[in-house]
Amino acid sequence: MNHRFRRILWRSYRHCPLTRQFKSLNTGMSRGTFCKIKVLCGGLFVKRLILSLFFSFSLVNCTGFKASQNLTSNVQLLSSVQQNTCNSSFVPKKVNVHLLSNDEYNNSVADLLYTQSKGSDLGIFEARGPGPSGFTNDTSSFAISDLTIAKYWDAAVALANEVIASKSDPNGAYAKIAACAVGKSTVDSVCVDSIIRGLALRAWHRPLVEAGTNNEFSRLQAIVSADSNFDDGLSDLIKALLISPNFLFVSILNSQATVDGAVFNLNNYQLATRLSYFLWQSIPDDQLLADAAAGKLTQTDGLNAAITRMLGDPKMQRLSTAMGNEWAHLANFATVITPGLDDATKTAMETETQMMFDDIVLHDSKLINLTSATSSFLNKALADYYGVSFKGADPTKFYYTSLSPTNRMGIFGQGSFLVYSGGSPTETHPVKRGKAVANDWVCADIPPPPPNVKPAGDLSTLPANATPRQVLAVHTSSPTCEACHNTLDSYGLAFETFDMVGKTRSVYSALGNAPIDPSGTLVNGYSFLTTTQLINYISNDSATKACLARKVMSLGLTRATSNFDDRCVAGQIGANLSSAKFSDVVRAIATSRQFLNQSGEAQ
Amino acid sequence: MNFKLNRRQFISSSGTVFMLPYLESIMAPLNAMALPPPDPRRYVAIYMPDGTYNRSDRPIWYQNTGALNSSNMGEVLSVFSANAADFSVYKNIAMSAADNLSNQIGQHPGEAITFMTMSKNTTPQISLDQIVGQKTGKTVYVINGNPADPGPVDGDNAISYLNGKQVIGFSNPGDMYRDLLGKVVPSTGSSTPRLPASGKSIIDSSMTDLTALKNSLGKSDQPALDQFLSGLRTLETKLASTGGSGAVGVGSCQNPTNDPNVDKTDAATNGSLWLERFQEFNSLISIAFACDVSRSVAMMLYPESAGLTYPSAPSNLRFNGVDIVGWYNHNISHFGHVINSNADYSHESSDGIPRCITRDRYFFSVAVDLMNKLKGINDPSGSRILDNTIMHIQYGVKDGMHYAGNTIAAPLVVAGGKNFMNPGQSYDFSSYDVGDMLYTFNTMLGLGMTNFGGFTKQMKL
Repeated sequence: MNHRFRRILWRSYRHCPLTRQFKSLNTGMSRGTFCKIKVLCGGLFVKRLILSLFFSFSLVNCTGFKASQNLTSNVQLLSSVQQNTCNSSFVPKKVNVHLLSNDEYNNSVADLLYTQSKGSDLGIFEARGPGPSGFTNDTSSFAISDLTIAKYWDAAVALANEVIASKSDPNGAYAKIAACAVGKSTVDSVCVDSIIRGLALRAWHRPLVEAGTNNEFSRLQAIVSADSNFDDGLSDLIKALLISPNFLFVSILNSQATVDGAVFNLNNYQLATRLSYFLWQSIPDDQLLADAAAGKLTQTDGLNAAITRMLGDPKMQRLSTAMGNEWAHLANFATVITPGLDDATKTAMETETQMMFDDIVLHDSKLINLTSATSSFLNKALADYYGVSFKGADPTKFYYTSLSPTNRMGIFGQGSFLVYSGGSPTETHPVKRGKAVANDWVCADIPPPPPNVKPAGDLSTLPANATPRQVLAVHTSSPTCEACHNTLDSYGLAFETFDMVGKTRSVYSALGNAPIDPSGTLVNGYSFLTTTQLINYISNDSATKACLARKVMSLGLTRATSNFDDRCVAGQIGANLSSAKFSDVVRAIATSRQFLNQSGEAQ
Repeated sequence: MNFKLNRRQFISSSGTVFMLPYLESIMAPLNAMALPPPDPRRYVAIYMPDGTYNRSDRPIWYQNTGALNSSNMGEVLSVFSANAADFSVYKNIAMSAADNLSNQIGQHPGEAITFMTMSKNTTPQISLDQIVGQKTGKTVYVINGNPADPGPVDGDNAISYLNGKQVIGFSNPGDMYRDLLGKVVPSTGSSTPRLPASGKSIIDSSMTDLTALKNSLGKSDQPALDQFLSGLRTLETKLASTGGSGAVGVGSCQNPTNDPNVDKTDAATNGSLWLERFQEFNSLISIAFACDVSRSVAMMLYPESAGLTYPSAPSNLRFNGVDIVGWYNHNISHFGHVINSNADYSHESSDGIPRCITRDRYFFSVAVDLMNKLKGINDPSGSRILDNTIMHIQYGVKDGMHYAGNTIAAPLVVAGGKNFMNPGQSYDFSSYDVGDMLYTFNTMLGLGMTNFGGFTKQMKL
């Protein structure tokens, strides 16, 4: 597709207004496809006409697209995953309780309490690093101190105050949460009870227990009624809901949960929660809870319909942002020292990468584009920086632009990756680049170096202008270092044709213009001579494709995906990545046995 | 004109005349009642020993003169990005007293000794934190990264001086907790901590939820649930001490709580909980300020002679992914390379600058943590305590590699004080000395000194 056409498409993507209506018709066609169709048809359809004609007749006729195209690939992908021939005695790895990440907390209170405030700022939460999966929603990424709980409490108090303070606003949070209490001096018990049930359902993503010794409804009723006026009671209700482990933790309860070796299906509400925190990084919405109440999510059709609806929701931006921030490390990109790189270009690099994720997640492009796209989102400054032709009308805007004739491809050619992984401010660090490729994009799972490791070999024998390849050769002479460095160094040295700020180069200017030799041999025996050859190989390698699937799986399962079954399922998804769109991948993961089941564990 | 007064006019006007002096006398105390006492002002000194890089050919440490914002912080100060409006960078300010001493007993001791004293010799009498304590009659909390060598004066081990001797202070936050516990009078005035019904029922409800989870989940989930339970119990205690169901970090004075995880007698040499210990100190400082037990704090983060190595830095503080785990501060300051046993620090390692930046961020994260805590508590007027507090945060040595010819003056940050300063700026103070700054602080703190170590220039902060 030429980039003039892609440019038009991109402009239409960004402002496509009919996504939600379109998605609600559950045609299975993606937003991106729809917008393409809209453009092809001239982009001038009257919304009312489109809706009244239900798209399909006019659109299919004018474009030749068939709405069932996605469904076909879905079916292929789903069938391979759902059959799950990986292991006949399949036991999914247990997903431990998961403390909401700061972003998940912020999103959840935003959706629950209609606030624009960041709960993590109100409570002054500490930053949390990623877990083994590389994401902060990892069940292994958190530790709870007394201070953590105090901060959650302070955030809850501030949020409750914010809700009460909105009382005079007819469209504020108070009116939305406690509609039946608005304007009343005395709030009757029917109203109070409905507020408790409604708010708790959304906060804890399940109906309250209303009987037995753990009567949650009675407890919350008592909290509200202990106050002398309704507003204080509502405030205390919000605090009680937000400081509860039922809100702060995502956990899966079942009578089999404490039985070693037991495997059980997630119930409807648990599925709603897992789906919602996967795709929206937040609590389920009312429709998803209604689907759960109706038992639809444990039915194949109902689950697929819910996934389709969720994929079309603007809240998918949160998943895209999480992927950009944590997978591509954009969250820390601004802090990387980049001598010689102006701020505008650096910001453009960040935008380029986030737009790539947005294109995949929001516009349902192929996940494989992450590593294999030969075009990228560039403004003129970045296109000039990369040395590619820019044909956009507005130099400040980003257009989907061909990277030809450079050797840039996918994330590996993007400035954000090359700078972030580049190393020190003054020189590239091939091991770090290699590690970034291995851990984030090939899932080679390279362990950290052993403690107290010392450089192997005698560096003093090297010439003054020794190249990184010569220095690393000394490293790999040690059997202790060899195993990992053979992998890391091969990847890293191949990327030496990019300097620390993402510019292409062929010589080390600081080393007397010593030529750069990017060639190498991977541990599987594949030999390459050029950077382009390696990038091409990685992009098309089944391990890379499986890795991309594993990464998305990790986000959905909130844990690292390293056991045999995870790898096997990811491999099956990865095998279809060349044709699968992001929605296909999500659907395959969300209908996989890992996603739908949980294992028990004795206490 | 008709000057005739009728009886009614005479009586009413004469009443006013007779009452005027009396009205005046009763209005004075009424005016006094209308004006609340001013909020107390506090001083926090955070001293970062050893040096950092600040050469102009390095990544930016200082910013261009003008307003700071989250996008122009640079690599080191980015840790302050959420607090851009609450701190300033002071560029090019001279350290003449330190320079005067640096050639007598080495650079580091001169910097530490003069940091808050501007002493012209190696036996300083009193430092600014202690002056605040004397003037206000409040406790001075001295926090020391290493209590080694409590001799009368020994260079880089101390920044706080009283009566010609160094004040060592606390290395273990548990010791400060126990000291503070006896001095705090919670604002409830109640000797028996009591949790109001709603606050108690909220925490009870959460504990019941937690118990249900504990009974229903496997063993690998239990540690997280236990941590949560511990947090809830501590929260319950805090709420009881504040007597309400409001925020525990906001508002009134409360009893301190101890964190047994960081209450270690080997704090001086155990680096494993370095950051957590200072965060706990910050919590205790917040309480000391909120309860007006103290109005000055001197915090020495890590003397050069400290025998501890750092734990891993949080990933968000690591610059270019370079960690400080297992490193001594001294070697980091010298850019990570000791060339031989003769301590020739003139060579840099390739990770030296990035590790130095990570260490800088690690140090500054302590200051940011305290800023955030002081933002979360209020004075009686409702003003944030941070806005009534000067936080003086400074490196000891200008340049870790002693590139004297390349230094562009002391890396210095001043935070807080919004009620009497104008934070949020990158200032060029090339015509001033740190002594002038301390003299100006004296004025802002109302200490009444006519000079500070001979310095008398007022700075516009």
